[in-house]
Amino acid sequence: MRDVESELIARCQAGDQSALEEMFLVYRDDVFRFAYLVVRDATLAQDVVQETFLKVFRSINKFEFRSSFKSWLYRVAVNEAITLLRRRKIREELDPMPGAIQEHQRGRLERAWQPEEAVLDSEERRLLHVAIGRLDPVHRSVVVLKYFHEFSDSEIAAIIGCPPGTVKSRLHRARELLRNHMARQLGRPDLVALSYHRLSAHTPLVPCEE
Amino acid sequence: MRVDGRMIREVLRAEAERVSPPPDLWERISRELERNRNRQGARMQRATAAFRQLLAVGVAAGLCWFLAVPARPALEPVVLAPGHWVGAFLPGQADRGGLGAGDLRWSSAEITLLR
Repeated sequence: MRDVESELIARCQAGDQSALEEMFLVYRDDVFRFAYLVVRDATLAQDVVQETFLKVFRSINKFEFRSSFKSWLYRVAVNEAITLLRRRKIREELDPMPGAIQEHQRGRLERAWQPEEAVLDSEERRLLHVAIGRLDPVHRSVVVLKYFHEFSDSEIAAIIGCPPGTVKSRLHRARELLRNHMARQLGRPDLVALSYHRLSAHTPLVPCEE
Repeated sequence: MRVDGRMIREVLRAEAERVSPPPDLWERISRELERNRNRQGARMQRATAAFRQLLAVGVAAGLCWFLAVPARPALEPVVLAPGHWVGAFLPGQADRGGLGAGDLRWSSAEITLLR
């Protein structure tokens, strides 16, 4: 697999257009799903995928096979998703929507989870879906890389440019935030950890290496 | 409250199953790559054209200078006042004879004086 990938990269570096398309088809679904789970909007996810592949293809000649191509690709995707969300946040701050519209949009996003359509239909899972959406993009990226793509801690560390210890602590914080959010939604404040306020306090919206 | 890895995984998978990338995504990307290549090509062409123009102007200026300026040695010979010490180090100065400071030979009057 590794050899096939190396060969494909070498063909891309040689300027083979069909190799670029092959490369895109190999990673398209994974990158799109990652982008969608982080930005939570199909249109934004398309933009993230487009920008990610454009960046990777433009600088593929600089790839020196020192690290895994997949890590590099995901690293670009994480940065693109976070940059895009940050830009959107700034735009929203500059041009705020009326409160009612904002509330309507938030409600629409939260109702997007249709229990009767989904395989998983318990109230707990619906709340977890909403809670994941409430995580900041940095923690959400780590959660998606860990639980959806099933990368190891060291692979995630290579992707986001942090030591593996930081990845572990981010995952721990993310789980804690999810648990506390769900407890509040279920009206069980006794289950909210004392550290909730510290954990939900302003978390950096940037990956380690930026 | 139970929030374990398995539950998060299931929720994320169920959510991801609801979406799929649009079929025209590659067309968009390849169009953008093509546009980039064209832009790069145009930039290179502009740079080459500018270099050629500069070269043509340089050659024309050189030609005009060659035609307008009368022929003369490219470097004027250095003329030094007699007795100037620098002359001693200039090549050929000593061979010309005369009273230059480059002439290290003693005059007959000096030789007579030494005797």
